Amino acid sequence: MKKPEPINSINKVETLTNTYKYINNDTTIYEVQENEVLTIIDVIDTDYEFIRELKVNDNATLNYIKIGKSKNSSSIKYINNIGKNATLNIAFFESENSKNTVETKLTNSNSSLNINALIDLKDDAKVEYNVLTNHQNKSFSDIKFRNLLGGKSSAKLNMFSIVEETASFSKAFQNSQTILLSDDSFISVTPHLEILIDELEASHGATCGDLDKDSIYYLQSRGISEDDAKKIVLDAIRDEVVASVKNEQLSEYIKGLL
Amino acid sequence: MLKIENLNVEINGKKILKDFNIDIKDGEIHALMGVNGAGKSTLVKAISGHYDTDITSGTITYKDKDITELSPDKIANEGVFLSFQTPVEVAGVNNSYFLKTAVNAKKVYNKEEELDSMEFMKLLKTKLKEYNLDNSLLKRGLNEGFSGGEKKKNELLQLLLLNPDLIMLDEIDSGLDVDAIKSVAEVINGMLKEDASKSLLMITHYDRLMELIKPDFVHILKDGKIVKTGDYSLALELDEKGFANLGLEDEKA
Repeated sequence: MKKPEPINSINKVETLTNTYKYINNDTTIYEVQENEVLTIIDVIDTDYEFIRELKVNDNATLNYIKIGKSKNSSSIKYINNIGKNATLNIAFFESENSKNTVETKLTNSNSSLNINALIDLKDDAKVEYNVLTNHQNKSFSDIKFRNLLGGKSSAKLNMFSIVEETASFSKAFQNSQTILLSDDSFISVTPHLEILIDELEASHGATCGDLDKDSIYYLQSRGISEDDAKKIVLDAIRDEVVASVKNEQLSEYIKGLL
Repeated sequence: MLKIENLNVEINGKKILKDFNIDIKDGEIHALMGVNGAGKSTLVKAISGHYDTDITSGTITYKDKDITELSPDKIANEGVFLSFQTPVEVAGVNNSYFLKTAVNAKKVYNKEEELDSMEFMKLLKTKLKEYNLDNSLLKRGLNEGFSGGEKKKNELLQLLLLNPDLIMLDEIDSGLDVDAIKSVAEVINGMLKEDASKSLLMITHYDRLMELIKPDFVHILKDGKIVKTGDYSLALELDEKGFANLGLEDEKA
């Protein structure tokens, strides 16, 4: 019997072994076994509601890259499990419509979650992220959003991290930087840390503004037109997020998909 | 080359330049001196089309063309170059890519063929070798994390590649050691020697740079106007006596 295809498409699986388990129409599990490294590029161009379970076993690394291209709206819930000394690196690239919930329980010691997101919207695109992180053991989380919003687009980001009493010496960081490229674009960011211990490192912050006028003027003063100068500065921000993938060939591949 | 007539400039509603006049002919070197806040930087910003400067009246004519209302990129492509007092750090923009983009923007403006990567690298290497500049800055982000000296070196590299006809230096010597000032002078003098029609307007507080790049005219700016003009000896006199003893101190000081 032919195995049913998942409703999304996986464009590239770098390392093999344990790739994904198709559960049903709603849920797909991506799992990487102990000591393995797996990279997945997940292009979401459908308009359904579904669940992704990202499971990283002990001492393993999963690099999960989502390219969001749903024309109407997709709704994804991520449920992440990260083992001891394991790392989950997530890069989200959003250019269309989507609603996302990212739930991560850091129950194992020295587990790490890194999220780098680029919300790059125009026209009337809408993106929502709810990122819930629960440190229950000594662990690390770093959540970064870079938002470039043009037209009448809007983004809503809620980052909620809890550091429990059992998670001493954890590190929890949240950061969002937004550039509003038009008068009609809209951003709502809620960074939130709930800390129940004294021994930890944590920070959260959000900024919102226009493109840096001095940078644009500097480029213009060397003969580069205003439009090109803006494009250069914006591309530099996009490239920064793409570079978080930390693989030059893969970065180039991702640029081709954006 | 550059003629400014009755120029009035405001920044945030405050009058900075007041009926300012200057005439810089081809091949001339002018030095602009004055106390802090006299309007020196505002002048070069206004010439290069900075967004902060509001020109309320007067005209800036460059090579017989009114550039008062031109955008900064067009002014630059006409052949005007401003070396910044504090060059801006543009994070994530590769310096080499930026330099090639700027060189080709000027080519396109002048309806010349753009340089491909090989041709650009050849030009770059030639300029680096000619003035013994190192290439360590090229792979980094544009001025990103550069020291003060490195930023000024990068300004010089841009100057060499863009090869403007009017060079404006806004305190390029500030924060530089003696050897670095010599390098600046070497590049500027080299460019002026190569093309005697190029003109230079330099803002400086120190005699050191003028020892190496001898100005034809030295202007003292006070309260938005030139109040005294002389030759190099005026700079020497100023260096010896100071603004106060020449009766040129800031009124508010």
